Amino acid sequence: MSDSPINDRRTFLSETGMGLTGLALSSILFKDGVAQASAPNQGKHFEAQAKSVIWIFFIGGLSHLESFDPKPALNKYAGKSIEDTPFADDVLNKDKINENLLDPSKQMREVFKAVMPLQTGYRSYGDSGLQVSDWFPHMGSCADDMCVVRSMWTIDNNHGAQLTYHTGRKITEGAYPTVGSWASYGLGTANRNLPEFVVLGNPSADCCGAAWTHGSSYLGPKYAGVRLKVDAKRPLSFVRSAKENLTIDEQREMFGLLGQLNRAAGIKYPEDKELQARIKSYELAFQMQSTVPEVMNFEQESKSVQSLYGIDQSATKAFGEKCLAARRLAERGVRFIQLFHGYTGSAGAWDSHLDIKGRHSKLAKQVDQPIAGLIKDLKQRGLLDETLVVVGSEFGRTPGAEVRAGSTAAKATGRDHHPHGFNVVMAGGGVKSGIVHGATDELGFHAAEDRHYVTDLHATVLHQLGLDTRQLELPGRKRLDRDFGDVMHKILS
Amino acid sequence: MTAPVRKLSLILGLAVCVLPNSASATPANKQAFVRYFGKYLPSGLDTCATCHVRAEANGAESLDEFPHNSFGKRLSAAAEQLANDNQNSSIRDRLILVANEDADGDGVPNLQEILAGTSPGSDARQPDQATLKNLKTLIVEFGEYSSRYQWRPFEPVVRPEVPNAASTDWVRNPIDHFIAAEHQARGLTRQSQADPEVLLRRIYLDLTGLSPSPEAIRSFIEESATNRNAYEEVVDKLLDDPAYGERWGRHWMDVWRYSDWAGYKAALRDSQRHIWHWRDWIIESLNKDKPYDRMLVEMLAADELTPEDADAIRATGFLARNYFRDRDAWMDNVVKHTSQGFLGLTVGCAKCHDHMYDPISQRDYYSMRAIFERYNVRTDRIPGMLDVAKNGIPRAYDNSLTAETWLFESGDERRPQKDEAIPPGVPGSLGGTFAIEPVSLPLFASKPDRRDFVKQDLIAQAEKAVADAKDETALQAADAKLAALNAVLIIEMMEDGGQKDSEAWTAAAMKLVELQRQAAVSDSRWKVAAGKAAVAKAEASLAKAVKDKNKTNESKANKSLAAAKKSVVAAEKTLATAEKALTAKVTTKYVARKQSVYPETSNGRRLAFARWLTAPQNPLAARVAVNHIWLRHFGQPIVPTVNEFGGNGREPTHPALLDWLADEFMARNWSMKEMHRLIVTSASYRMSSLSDGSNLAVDPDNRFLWRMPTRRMEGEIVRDNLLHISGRIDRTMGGPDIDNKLAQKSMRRSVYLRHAHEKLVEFVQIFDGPSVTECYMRENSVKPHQALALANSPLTVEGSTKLATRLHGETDGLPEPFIEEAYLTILSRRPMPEEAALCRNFLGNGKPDSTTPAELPRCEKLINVLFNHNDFIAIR
Repeated sequence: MSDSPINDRRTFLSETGMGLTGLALSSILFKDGVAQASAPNQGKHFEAQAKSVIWIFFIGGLSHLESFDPKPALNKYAGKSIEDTPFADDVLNKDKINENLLDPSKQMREVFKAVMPLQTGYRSYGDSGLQVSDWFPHMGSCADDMCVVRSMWTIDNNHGAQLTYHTGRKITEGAYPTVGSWASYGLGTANRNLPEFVVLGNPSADCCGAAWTHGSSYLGPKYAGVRLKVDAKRPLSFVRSAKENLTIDEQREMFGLLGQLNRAAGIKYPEDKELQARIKSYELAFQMQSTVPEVMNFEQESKSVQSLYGIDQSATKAFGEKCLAARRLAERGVRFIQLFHGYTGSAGAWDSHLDIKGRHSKLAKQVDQPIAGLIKDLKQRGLLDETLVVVGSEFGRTPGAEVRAGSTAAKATGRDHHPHGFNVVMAGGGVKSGIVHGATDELGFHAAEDRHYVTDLHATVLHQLGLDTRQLELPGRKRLDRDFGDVMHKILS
Repeated sequence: MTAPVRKLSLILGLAVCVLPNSASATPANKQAFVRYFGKYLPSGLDTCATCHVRAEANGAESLDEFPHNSFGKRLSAAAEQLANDNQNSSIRDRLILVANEDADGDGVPNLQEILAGTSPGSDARQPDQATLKNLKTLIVEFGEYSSRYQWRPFEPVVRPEVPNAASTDWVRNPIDHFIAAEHQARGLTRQSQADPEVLLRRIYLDLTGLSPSPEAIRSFIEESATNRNAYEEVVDKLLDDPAYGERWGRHWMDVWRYSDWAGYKAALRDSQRHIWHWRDWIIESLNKDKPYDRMLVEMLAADELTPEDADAIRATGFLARNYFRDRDAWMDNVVKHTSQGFLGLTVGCAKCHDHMYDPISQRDYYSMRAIFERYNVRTDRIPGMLDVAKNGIPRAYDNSLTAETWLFESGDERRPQKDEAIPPGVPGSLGGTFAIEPVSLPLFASKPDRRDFVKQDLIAQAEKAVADAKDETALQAADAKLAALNAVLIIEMMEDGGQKDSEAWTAAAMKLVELQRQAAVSDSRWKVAAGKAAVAKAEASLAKAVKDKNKTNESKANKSLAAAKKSVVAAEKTLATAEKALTAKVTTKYVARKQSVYPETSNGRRLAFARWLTAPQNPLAARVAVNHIWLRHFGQPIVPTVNEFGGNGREPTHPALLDWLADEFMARNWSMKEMHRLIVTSASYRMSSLSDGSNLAVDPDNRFLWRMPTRRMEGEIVRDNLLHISGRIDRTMGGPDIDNKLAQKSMRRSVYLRHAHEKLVEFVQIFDGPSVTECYMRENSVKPHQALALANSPLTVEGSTKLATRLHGETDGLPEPFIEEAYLTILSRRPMPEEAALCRNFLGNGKPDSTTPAELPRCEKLINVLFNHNDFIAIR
């Protein structure tokens, strides 16, 4: 932070890609391969293992118990109270339950004690013998390429945790930079023709973070995720000028003048992040007129590739298309591709307080083959090593059946929110494959071994991209210790 | 506080707390205790055992079984003590009273024990020496923390004292003192006043959504040099401009969830047809400066408050808009959004369980639902239009006097608990009086078709049929119908005047019966004749088809012929009956006019709610409203969570200012224009938006307003200004919603474009346009999509051509004046030399010093570029 106008001006010009040479060089704006001038803490901190991250998020809370963390004890003690199991003291310890919740006094969630049996079976897959539930058979077939982290925990027992999952902060603390925006901020672009941070699918609803879940907060809108439609017919609105016969060269000249004028006016507002973002958005928009329709057009993809993602089936078509688009974006150098599944306008489709069996099995069917297809396709193209796929949800679901006033455990069909222990799956990007890392207790209640807060996941992902979260700091912006997270070194190969 | 002790015991009665798992209800006292200590409360002291005897907790179901420990006893005694002294006896007041006492007699005062993390009601554990040593600083810190301005959103507004913080040469009104106090506390330096042209553009866009003309800018710059009130005069002028209602109408439409009708073909799914009448009511009300409280009452209950005032009843479009084909979802939306919009409370979660953060029980939720349980929606006729499918006023009314509300187990509508109907009510924790009085409705509300204009429209329609009659039988039928209509209207009038069964009525009724019988005969005759004509026509078509050997037409004609013959048979049969009836004895049993009849009483529940809501004691209504107003002037609210003032929301940046504004708002009779005037004439609002390094380091987000935040135009305002600045705008106000697909062609302001589920204006949505389901605060993104929309859309391209042509003509295309006028017209400022040079270079096609006229196509391009300039979309 500087109070000298000369330095401000210098920073402004470099932030907007002009460098010290200033306005005269604007003609280079639209040429590829222009190195981005970077602030002191931008740029890689060490050798990157991965070039891109495909970050898949299930909105509403995936049951860890019925996905990648089998708990036979739940079947054994089904119908009994947790109090009547040998694990009661450990599991029900109130301090332990409150330990991680931010403002526990405000988070009055009942502990559901009637143990609910597993709603689906599990099988071991591959050489690794990794266990995957029967709702995710296709992902099971990728077991030897997957790493399951079973010991995640978070600080909010309501759906604000969707935001927490992406920023590490509780929703009541407001917006903070998301993991994708840090990647974008830290690395800049690898392809000036596409945004470095792309969002596919409808993000969280207003209750749970909305656009903040792919936002950039104080980093400025320049680093926020850009939402793209997966629609070959109409990938981008207003993609062509209404001015007939306007040539691309004429438009380039106009956009060039605009860039110069915005920079000239911006001298008075050197730290205006909106202005910086707008300048970048025009340069990007100019290129995206041709690149985005190309990316979203799957005609060059063979039938067999399309069916690998399940695009030929109605249940898997929508998410399959997003996964295929994600691969195409990663191939073209997009750093961070965030996919949302399960938008409902409220808490999210995965939020199964009732009928978890019916809901989860249906939703799993929509995503299982597309995600497996993505992993297999990346692998067959030799891209899995440099692409990190991460699959997760804001929290897990309770081992106990959700019994509300007036009802009984026998009638209960759902599980409540569970922030104390849940799992994420990773594949590729330099992460060990065919392994399980961390563990929850016997009932799947508390993350017990190698416990990881959500920012540990951020630290790990950013680490693979070559970034050290502890070096990602901006003057005047205090980051808390829990914001940085610790890299999960044990899972790195 | 009339009966403090009784009230207190009621609160405590709720405080049933079963240890060790205190997951049941959230006792209000415990919450207040936790809130008072905030982050200073050590873990372990947020349990019931801080005040109760832990050992007796198991299975305890009442306070008797779960007695207080010595600290708890002292706290409840303190309540009585304070109440007897006529003082406030909130948990906070009680805690302050007993802070330095030592309830458990272990030698460590209560406050010290709490801050040190040991129980003040048990001498089993005491803080060790090391802890006690550190306590001193902690007590000081906590003292500062607890003496800061108390933000109590659930208690009635108490007008805070205005701090005397700012130097007199800066301060213009009390707002500035509140803002300056925070500057002082944080060592921030205020920005000086913005340049006149920046200020002018800001206030124009803020109050009307339309930027100032170059003439207005020039004259303001001139004025402000000599006239100290130049700015105030502009503010007055803009508040009187009808564009103000359109600009702020759209803001409130966000908060009140405006949506045009949504559905497919004939099916209605959401909102109502012609809901735009409500939009027009909003805009008109704002322009008339109808008080905010009155607006709320009318939206919730104009049909009960002024049942004969059709204009006011448009306001109930708020309730009509909540229509949803699923009644439970409909009710859920009404409760949810009434609470969020007017009270800043999210109660939706209490549908399934007691609220986790606020004192709203599951029962409270259903009590609120009961307020709305008996209302429904209908469309009333408007003068000149009998067909309500084409136009009419969608409105709320009570269609039931008996419908009950049941609590749904876990919020599951399949599991209503039918053993007890939930009576209407408001959350007790918010205080106030909720008194229901049923409203008896005038005739025009229960039988709206009795209104004169409906009768006149019916007569006009019948007279038109007479005038349009093509032949004798048609004329006779129309004449008879008109006569019968006139007679039935006379009978109605007699009956409404209480003359039923009088001699005159009997005579009139018998006359009417005769007329109706004659009308039936003439009508049947006309139908017979019409049927026969149809038969003849069908026979001719058949003959032609046979002749043409056209099989398709032949079978068509055969079908029509059969149908026509059938209609003749039916009409002849009716005619026979009608003719026979003519000869029967004349009675008084006439056929009444077909018309909708609605209940003559309304439950009065909504009116009771509206009055409770807008009573000065209501803690939330005024606070929530001024927060919304502030947000839209400054681009950032005082309470960051505008629809969530409860425990799950975020703390205000200027709690005292918000309370002061809320009180001021009520004191000024809820006048919104007064509040706008107050806010925009403050020195705070007039600050420049320029940056400052040392301030940035302290408050990088400008939360404490050391400068004016730069805002971005909303999508509607982008579109409106493309039309306005290029001189193409059509300023017609009001009327039916314009097809959203015409957004690029229509010249009307965006507020009039259709806005509904799957019927959105794409251009507006790209600039974070409002969601139909809810939009309490807009997002403010910067995306490449916006760049494409602004650069490529027909709106910009055609607007650029129009404006370039005009300016080219006015300046003869000379670069210097063209550039100056273009900057002034689009960006409301003159170009800096560097900018002018770049533009000259562009216009001169690489020849910056060209003094020859620029070509029109290049001028068009320059205009397009300036519409895409950051200073166009940004409001500095």
